[in-house]
Amino acid sequence: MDRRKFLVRSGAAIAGTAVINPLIARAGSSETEIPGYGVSGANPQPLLTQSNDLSPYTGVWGDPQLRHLLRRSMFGLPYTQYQAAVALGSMNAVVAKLLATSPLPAQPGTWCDKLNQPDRTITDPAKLLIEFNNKQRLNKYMELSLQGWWFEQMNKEDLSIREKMTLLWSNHFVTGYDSVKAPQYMYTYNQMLRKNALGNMKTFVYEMATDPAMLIFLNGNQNTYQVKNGKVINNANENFARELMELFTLGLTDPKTGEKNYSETDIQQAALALTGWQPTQTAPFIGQLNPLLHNTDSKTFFGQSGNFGMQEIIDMIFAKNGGYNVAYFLCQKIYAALVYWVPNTQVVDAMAKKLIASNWEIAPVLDALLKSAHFYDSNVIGSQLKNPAELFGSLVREFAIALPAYDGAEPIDSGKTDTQGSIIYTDRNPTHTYLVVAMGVVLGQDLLNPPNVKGWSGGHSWVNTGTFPTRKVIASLAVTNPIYFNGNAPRAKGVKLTFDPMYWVRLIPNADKMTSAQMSNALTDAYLAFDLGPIEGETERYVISGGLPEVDYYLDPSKVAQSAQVIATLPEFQLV
Amino acid sequence: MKRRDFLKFGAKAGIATTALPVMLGGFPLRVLGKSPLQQLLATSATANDKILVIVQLAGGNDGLNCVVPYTDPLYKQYRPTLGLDKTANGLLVFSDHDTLALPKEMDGMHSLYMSGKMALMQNVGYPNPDLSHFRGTDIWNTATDASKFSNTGWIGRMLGILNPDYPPAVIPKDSAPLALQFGASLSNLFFAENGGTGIVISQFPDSTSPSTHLYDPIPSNPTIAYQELDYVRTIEKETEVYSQSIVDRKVVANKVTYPTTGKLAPQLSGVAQLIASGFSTKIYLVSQGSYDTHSNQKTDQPALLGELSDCIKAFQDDLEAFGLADRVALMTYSEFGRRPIENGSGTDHGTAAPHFVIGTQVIPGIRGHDPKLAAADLLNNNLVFEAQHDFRNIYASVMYEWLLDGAGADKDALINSVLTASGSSTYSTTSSWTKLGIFKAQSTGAVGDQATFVPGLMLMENYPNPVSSQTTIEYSLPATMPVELGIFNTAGVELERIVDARQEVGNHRVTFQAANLPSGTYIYRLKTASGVVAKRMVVVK
Repeated sequence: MDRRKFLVRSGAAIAGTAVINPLIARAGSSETEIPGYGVSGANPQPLLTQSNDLSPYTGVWGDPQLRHLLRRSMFGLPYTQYQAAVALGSMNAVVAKLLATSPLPAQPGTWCDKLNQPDRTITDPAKLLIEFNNKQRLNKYMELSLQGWWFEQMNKEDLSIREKMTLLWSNHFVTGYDSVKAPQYMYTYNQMLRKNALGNMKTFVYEMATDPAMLIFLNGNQNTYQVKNGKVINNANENFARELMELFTLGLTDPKTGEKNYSETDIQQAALALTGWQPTQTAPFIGQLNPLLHNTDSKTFFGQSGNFGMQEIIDMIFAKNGGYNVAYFLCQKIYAALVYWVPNTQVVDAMAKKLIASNWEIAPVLDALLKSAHFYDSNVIGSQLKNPAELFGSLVREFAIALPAYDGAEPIDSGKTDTQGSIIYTDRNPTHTYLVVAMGVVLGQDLLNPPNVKGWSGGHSWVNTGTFPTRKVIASLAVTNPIYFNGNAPRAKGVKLTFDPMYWVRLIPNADKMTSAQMSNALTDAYLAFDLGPIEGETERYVISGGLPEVDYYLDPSKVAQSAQVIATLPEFQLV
Repeated sequence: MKRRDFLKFGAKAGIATTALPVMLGGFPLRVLGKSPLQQLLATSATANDKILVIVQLAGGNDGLNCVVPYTDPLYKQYRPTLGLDKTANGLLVFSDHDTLALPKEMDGMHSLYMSGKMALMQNVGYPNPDLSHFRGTDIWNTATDASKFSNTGWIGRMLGILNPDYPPAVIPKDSAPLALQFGASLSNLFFAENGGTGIVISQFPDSTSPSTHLYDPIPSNPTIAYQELDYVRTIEKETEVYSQSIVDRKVVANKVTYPTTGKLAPQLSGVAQLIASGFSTKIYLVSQGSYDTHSNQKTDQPALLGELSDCIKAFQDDLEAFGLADRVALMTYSEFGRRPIENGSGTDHGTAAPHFVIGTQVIPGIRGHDPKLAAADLLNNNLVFEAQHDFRNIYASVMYEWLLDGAGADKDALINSVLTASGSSTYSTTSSWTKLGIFKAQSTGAVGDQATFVPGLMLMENYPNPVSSQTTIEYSLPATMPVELGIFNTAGVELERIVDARQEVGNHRVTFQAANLPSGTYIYRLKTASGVVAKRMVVVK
């Protein structure tokens, strides 16, 4: 692709981006979902372009557009997947491939089917304590294994948007391992997200509401109402009822009028209607209504009265204002994840109408969005900060870094015990564990364990003075000194990441015949959403040539590795 | 793996061989740095050098099981499972207020109260309370009426008003941020109209090496994508400057031992280290939680409160050991309290709750009445806040009596700009805030050359510093006035007058040629009609 032409086109960016939408001007309040941002920069503004609806894109279908579509739909863009997409041809064909359904991945291991319940028949208190410790520890290892498994799904993802949507929904219908403490439930929950990721929104909400992990996370399992010996025991717990409306479906306020979507009384009445749901203790793990714990009185919700239960409450929520309020709230999240972190209210409005018109099917909304002129605007390309999963996806996948095969079997009982007598387990997937721990502890995106029920804030909150240096260190290490991950350093036993610079660079056709300038252009086109200007472009060219004149230039592994390092540590690499 | 281990591992692994960026260390911390407030308060001797540490109790702390009205029969009636009993639970009764007690896990804070270092504000809240975690947190951070919205925080607004040009286009070397937060992402508490006034850090850096990248300029009329790229570059730059300033100051070790578990201890011990190292940041935010005890409250809340109390006690002891306790105050906040009537194993979202202000300069005692639990006194089954204890009166008091103490006569106007309205933004229909007398009267003495504190008059650190050939000095004037800017040796002899003119209100920047000066330390002094500020520069040939 001719970078000069592209620059001219980018340069002719649409004016008028500074218009502030009154709804968006409430940035920072919870209801508009504007996350935190760093020291610099004015308050975030929505991305207004020439096209602020779902009008189809009719411009040139070139490399920048194709790469943008793929980068936004997946976790990094491996060169081979880019080539596969080129072979598909048109935008329509690529979008169809990205949205196509495929079978769900197999579970990591049979351990997913059985809860690790401590043997409570043990009477010796010291032994019982050890039993509890053992099960807790086993659960923790399984959870790490599950996190690694999820990363593996992102890493192995073919041309499909499903893993991207799974992560998005995990940050919308939030649960967390630290509360749920059962990796089996977390696995079930994660697959539930994946299964519904491109499906029907209403079905999704119902399955989410009765999901075992969700029942535990928001105390649905403790939301009970009983009559025993004529005595009422009302343990209605409002936690889920509130978040069902505030965070999962309606949002706090009507997007058009600013009126509250529901009252405190609606929450209390909904809590009663939702009493009695309990997770099963054996597979299949689902939520079941225990009639003995369910309140059957008449409730008044949204001004209607009846003996409502889960389905009726969800139906009434979806029916509010013709479905618009739920559709709008959900589409804001989709927009923020796929387009730009500050929602454009006009585009979101068009998406919401599309979602209602498609009878709550998600795929048609994505189809329209990924083919819209708005999505391909030059303001959009490169405007999104990578979240840690996207950053790691782009490091591992784009630099073709090899990981050991994932082994999802039960953690290994080493046969040894610690000084307290608890079993010491061995991790089967130290490399995957290393990556997910780095993602979580160091960069702030602990998969399956968001900070609270609202999830990760996203946007500028990912890149700040705390996380940025670490992002660069990790990127730099991944492509220059992977040997240091290979078990030599303390706490990295068994970690193995392999970066082969010559294999990586030769993914580019004719790599050995290119000039250094051509190679520099090919690499930055492939792995950065920005075209480099003369200074950065020359730096990259100089690094890969080692300062040699063109006639003497040849591909050298150490130069290629340094060149990869320059790309991975540029601020441009943080954006997609 | 702990974050610190991970980073050490990273450092060992790659730093020696690659052009690596700054390593920021182990835990999250929010520092409010050098700028408006800092300049206002700490420019030199006159300025108030007070520091505020804000502790967020995330999730909504249950007030009734924190400051326990254990003698009220309604308390026990509402809390058949969770209610705490004086004898059975070993409650720590306030000797001067024997209807209230702290749970036994809060022995550290109880001892601070008994030694006169804690004010306890009862029934803190606001009208028409919102029971959402996120809206509730926003209301407390942005300090608005429940019906009003703002994207700026009260701390950010205060700092923004005092320092309208923050962040500067070029961050002077050796700067500290206005505010600092240990955490994952910057709280909207620190947002000002122009952006964030604080930074988030995760760990102390132990070395720095500036980025080796050279960048092409951001295009004029940039696309949103280029604006975001500019954001990343700015973060990179800030990271380098602030990290360098931490490295240069050689962060000192704590003088006491903090609890070894939990996430709060590393945050508060880090704050103490920065304060003791002379870091000029005025406001710190740390957080702990989750207090969202819908269930398992009997186990979870005492553990959290015990951690809170142990950490605050250690922090206070540390500051006293450093001899810095008189400069620091700590306050707690939380998005709401919880429902008086339990739900079986926990409590649902509620409203008013007690909060603490701690420090040697606090006027100790319990303020406000005991919680009123009678059904007639509740509103929608929830506690009603005490009008005097609208949380914004506490903010106003903290500003008036502590952060802005010594700042002159404009304090009320400034506080109204923060809490009532500024520009086209309205935060509250209330325009009169009550100062609660939380702090002892502070004395502010003039120090050195700077006789008068003038809000808005700012002299920035020169850069580069040390100077080899030339350096840039920036300053800001509160009004149009005659100005002298001179270079002095340490004996007080003026060597060169750089500026001697009547100048416009606003920012000014001059370049000083140091070619004729031998190596050594020099003073640059800004003298105006309304005040004098001086700073040091070092010339190295």
